[in-house]
Amino acid sequence: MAAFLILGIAGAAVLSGGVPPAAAAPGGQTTVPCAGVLWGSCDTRATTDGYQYQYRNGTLARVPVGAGGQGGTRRTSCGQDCPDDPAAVCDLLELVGPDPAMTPAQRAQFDQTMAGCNNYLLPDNNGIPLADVQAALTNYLRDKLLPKPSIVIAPSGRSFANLATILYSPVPPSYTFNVDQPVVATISAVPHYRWDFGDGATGPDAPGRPYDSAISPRDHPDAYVTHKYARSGQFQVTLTVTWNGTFTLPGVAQAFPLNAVVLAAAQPLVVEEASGVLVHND
Amino acid sequence: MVGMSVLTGCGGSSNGPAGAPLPAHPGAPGEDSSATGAVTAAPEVDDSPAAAAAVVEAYFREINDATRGGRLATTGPTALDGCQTCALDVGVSRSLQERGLHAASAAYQVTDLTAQPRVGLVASVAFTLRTSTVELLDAAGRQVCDAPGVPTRAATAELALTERGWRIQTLRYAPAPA
Repeated sequence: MAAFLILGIAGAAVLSGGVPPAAAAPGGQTTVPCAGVLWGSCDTRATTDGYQYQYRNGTLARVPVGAGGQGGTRRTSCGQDCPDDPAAVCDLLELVGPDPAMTPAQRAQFDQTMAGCNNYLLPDNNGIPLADVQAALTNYLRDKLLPKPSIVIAPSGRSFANLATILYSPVPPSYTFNVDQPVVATISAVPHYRWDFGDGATGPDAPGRPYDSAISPRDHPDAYVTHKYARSGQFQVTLTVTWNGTFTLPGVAQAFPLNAVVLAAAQPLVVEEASGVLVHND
Repeated sequence: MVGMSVLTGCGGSSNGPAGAPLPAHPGAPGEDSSATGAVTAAPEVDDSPAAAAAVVEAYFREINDATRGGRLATTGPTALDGCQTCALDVGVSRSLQERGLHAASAAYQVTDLTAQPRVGLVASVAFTLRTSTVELLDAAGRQVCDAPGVPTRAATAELALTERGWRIQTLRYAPAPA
């Protein structure tokens, strides 16, 4: 499924210092490359391609830019006196659905309004099922986009009891990814970290960082992941990174969830007992 | 979808669905913290084109403030969760936050804001956006790298009217530099 997915030009190069190549847009027009940080202003795909999406009845359909069901063909002379666009109202109603907290009267009003929406719903035969897109993007996120986690223990897999051990996992360069197939979309992935130090203790929801003498752990306690082992021994440190992803498409007001992607890493650690040594006895 | 998106009145329509109260929706990243999740009467909101332009300005101000502060941008008060290009800006702020970095200066400069006449529940705001190269600093204030800028571009924001006012649904940028 992931074989037809194409990574956007800059998604994997955020802050990494790499310079992604320019991308040839459909029609032969060359887009201006945006190296480094993937600002939103770098993304011109919807404009260049000339289409965006509508989401209805569980399917995503391509529509021309500006015809997203919200005023694309409506007269503009009425300005703010224009009546509500029925299709736009239906879009939003369908988007959020009924709320269990509604009173019976509110629910009846909602149902009555939705009943009038049938005439505004697109036929499904030109759409891509949302479930298919979610499955494809989840697979691509797990298999191609997300880095496999690793654990670095300072210093070099050995530590001492009752002294802080610094652990970290190299931070991936990007948390957003542009894909062009099966839909033009942007995937946002949010990591959650779970450290298990192997002695029954767990760590914070953070990747940690290497020790830097200029960044004091006292002044920046949240910058580091540390742990003090109470005794010597061999321990297995495990890190589980759970990525919660969503994806968005031009023209659709809703962000769609992806199945969580769970990746894990393990690293052995030898904790030794430090013993005092008298070095000067003057 | 942000917490509660009740459509406000816009002249009404006699032959179609017209602004039934929309329900609360399960929360999502970037959710507006002011959303209560309860169905209430729609408060007065400024639904003027000028208010739409102000939302666009507020959006870019928040992105600038968040990247300068090294924190995750909160776009719930200015954009819908489905704003695709907004997700990229939020992703930049998340990347900086996770790396312990922050921008030394504002990346975005918005000029030439022009709000188009409102059409029903939709407003468009045209503007020019300059994205400057900014230095990225670590917690000790050392320059780590630069975040390259983007050629100045003509842009259009499309906003939808919700119970809490205008929210950006789409930001569209011209491929060629302005």
